[in-house]
Amino acid sequence: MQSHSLQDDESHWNSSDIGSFAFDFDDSQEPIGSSSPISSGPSAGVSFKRSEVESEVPLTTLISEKSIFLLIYGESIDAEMSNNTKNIQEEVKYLRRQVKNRWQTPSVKTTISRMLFHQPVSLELFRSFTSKKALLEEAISVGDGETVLSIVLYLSNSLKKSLFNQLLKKYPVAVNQYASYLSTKMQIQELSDLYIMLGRTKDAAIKNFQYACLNSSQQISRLKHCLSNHFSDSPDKHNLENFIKLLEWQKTVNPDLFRKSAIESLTYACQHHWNDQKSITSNPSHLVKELGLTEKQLQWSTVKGRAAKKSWDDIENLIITKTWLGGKRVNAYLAIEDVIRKLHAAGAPSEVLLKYFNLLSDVDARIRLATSLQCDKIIIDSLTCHRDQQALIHQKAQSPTHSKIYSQADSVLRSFATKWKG
Amino acid sequence: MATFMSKVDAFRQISARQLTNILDSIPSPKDLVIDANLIKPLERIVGIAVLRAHGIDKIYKFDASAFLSKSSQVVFMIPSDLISAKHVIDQINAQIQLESRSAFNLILVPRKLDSIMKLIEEEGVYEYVQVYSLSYGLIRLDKFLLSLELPKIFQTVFVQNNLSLLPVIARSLWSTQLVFGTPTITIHLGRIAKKVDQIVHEFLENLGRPDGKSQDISYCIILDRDIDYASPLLTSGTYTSLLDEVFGIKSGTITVPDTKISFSLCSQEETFSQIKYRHFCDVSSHLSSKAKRLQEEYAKSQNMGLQEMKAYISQNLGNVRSMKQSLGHHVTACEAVSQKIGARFVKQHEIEQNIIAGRDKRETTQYIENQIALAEEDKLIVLRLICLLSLAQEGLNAEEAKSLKMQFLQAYGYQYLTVFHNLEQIGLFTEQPSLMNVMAAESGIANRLTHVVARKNAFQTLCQRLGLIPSFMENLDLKNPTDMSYVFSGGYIPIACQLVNLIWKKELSLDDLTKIFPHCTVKGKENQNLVTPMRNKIMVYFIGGVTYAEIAAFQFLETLLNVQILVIGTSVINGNTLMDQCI
Repeated sequence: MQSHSLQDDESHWNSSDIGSFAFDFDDSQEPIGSSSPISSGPSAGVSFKRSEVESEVPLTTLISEKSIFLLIYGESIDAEMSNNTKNIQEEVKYLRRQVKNRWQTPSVKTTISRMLFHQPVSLELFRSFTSKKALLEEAISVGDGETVLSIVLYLSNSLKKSLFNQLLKKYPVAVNQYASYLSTKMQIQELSDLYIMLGRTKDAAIKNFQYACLNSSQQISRLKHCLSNHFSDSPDKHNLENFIKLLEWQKTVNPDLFRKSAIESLTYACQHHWNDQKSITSNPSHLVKELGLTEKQLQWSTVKGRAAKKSWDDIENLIITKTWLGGKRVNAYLAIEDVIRKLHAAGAPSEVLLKYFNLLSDVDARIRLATSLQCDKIIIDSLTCHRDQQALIHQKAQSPTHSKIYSQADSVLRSFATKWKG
Repeated sequence: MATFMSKVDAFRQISARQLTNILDSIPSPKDLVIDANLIKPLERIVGIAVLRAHGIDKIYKFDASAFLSKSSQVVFMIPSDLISAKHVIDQINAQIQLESRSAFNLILVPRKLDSIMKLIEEEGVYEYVQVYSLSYGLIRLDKFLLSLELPKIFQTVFVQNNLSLLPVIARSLWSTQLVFGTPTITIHLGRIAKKVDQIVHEFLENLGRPDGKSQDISYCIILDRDIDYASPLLTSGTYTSLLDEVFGIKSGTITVPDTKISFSLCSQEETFSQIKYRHFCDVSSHLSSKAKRLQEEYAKSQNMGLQEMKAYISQNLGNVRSMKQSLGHHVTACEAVSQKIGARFVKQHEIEQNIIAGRDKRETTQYIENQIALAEEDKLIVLRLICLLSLAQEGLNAEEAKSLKMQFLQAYGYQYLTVFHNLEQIGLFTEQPSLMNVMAAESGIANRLTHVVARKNAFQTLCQRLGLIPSFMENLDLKNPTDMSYVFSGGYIPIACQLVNLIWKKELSLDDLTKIFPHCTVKGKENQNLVTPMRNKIMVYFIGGVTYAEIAAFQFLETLLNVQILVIGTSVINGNTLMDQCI
């Protein structure tokens, strides 16, 4: 392979197989998450989407022996050895030095570097405060978070709290690494204390909140505790208060609602407690007031909740108000199109849908929506109302000959009652 | 001399050798109990025959609640995090209680962590388990696409500020140097990129340097995901991006649910390789023209003589059949995509482009509020829009921030309070400083006035400076794109892609680059010979994940500039997986 031409590359691409090997496990037999063997024995249930690579380019033709050695064994051998040993004498010299150095404190730099490559070190040899600090600084400067964490844990075991805290205050990188560790290990009290000591009250508040959310049986009491201890000055105070009110409401009305959102709970109330007396907790208006929900949120929850009960009148009363002249006025916070889609999805009959379609003043928009929802009758009515003969002829031509819409279009087109435009 | 293309395969071979070395040091036969998330990446490294050849008998998916292996040698393979490790330790402890005589081995991917070793010690299983680490290298997902397959790295590094896995990133960069040589110019863009470079330095000093025989890469750019959040937040219109958004692409493989259809990014199947990086609107027309050609060919076969027919059957029929099948698969996939997001795609696009260009703010806010009220879309999609708005405006005003947050919490659950905290931390949900605060913070009337009058929006300035928002929306042809913005239907060009474009064409000097980005360093010197057809290989490494939109844009750029661009990510992400990591 001499040339570098693109064509060569292409042909290599086409000939060599870089595809995956797919340990095939048949989903129909192995439910996801099951721990039965994905494959068992040489033949049972195993098949390959692709065969093994037969003709891979030998590694040695791709990169140098030295690089291959470094990439495969680089980290598993002693760092100094790999770099320095060129012959036996050097190796002997190196080993002598190793024996001699065994009980001496190694340099900070060497220690941190060894830690990066997972070679054994003895941190206990670093006993002075200066050397401990130097270890931390070097670890931070190299940048491996795991080394930083190991040093932090060593310092927390070998320094008194006030000195330990003094160091943390100075090195935010160390704090973050330590905090991440405490958080994973669920040592929330220690983590919270750490943040408070550093003046990071917001972080403390959020961690406590997160922890309170994890426990379902004591969530309310934990959140209350969290509210009084960490959220008294927070801009999120009202959100937390509302969370607690919601949980209490859910507990009274239906404990199965637990973990449902405020809006989902409101929709539930609209569906199942619409006719409850206003004074009763379960009535939707109660929740709206408690949580400070908006008219728009109530309206949308009503549409969803009442549509589920097929109580079309309740929705109509809410959205379409009659004026004293007998005309109609829309009292909707939401786009009528969205209301129509929701009602259609809930299986509202054509007569109901038609009322809302008529509220759309733009006839083209009306036809577009009716078409996308496949409301045949409404398309025909709209076109008729629009006096659009051409569109009707087109509609008829597009429909199957024996369909309902075909005969409807046909009968409208035949009727003399319609005066066509144009 | 091996070609650049073939060298990319070296990473897989090295990973395979590392794994088989570990397996060989464990007595056979042995069972492999593997974490579900590691299956796909492992499939890309070795086949099952290799595992068998190195003594693996049965393979189980790891399940924290059940332990089924009856082998005397058990090999667990899990990601190196404390929680996964705890699950394994619990199982080992349970087996010890049952007086099992099995020997336990633990392969940590990608790194042996001190904190895990400490946990093993604390839990009293130190003498029962042999621990190995497998730092599998870069995994090839497509011709010029490599990934570390560490999907959570954005969360650990950027959200939690946990730097434990930086050596893994550094190691992969070091390995690219050993394979391709030191790049002529290396650009580090971002806080983490600079930290990683420090560790790469440790690798070079302590383990070894490239031998200097090859120097394949001219420009190498290593950048942090937070340099460009707009690219993952925006909805991309390319076929792969949409497939990823709708079905999720796992280690380069797409599976369409409820069907048996799956295809792989790197498959050499003709249809897919032609359409994968095209705009979705071009895909269906491409498919239908292909279908037409197929039909013509079939029609021709109807009028053939016997001899001709015989030749046709033996030569073409197989192709025609597989082509028919693949067309069918892509039509099904397209339909599924349209069904899932077709209804909102156009509107969402309009809103996103308005946000990016800073237009029609009222309409945007109202749209987001309606999305929350309808609650029909996934929360992640709403969250993306909120973040995009905050990003493009350099913060929401206080009222807006408060109200959007409240409505979101009411609709999706108050427990998501933590999400907003995380988004705040990474700068994706911020409040503009109010006038009062600005005045309080600054002294001197002149100072105050200039600040109020000339409060420049850094995002818009950057877009303008780098030309990220094309101005020729009117004559945009997504089927025959003329610039990289086609990946966002003409609305935006990903920063990394535009940087490569500008730097290669010498339209942006490296000096200027360091002035535009605060955390930017450049190593190496540009010289005359740098930009020649022989030296046309560029490498771009995304710390925190790369998106399919960026990958598509780079592919487009390759043809435009006649270069080869090796794209590497710690994983491949999209807006939803990005948001999910903030939860």
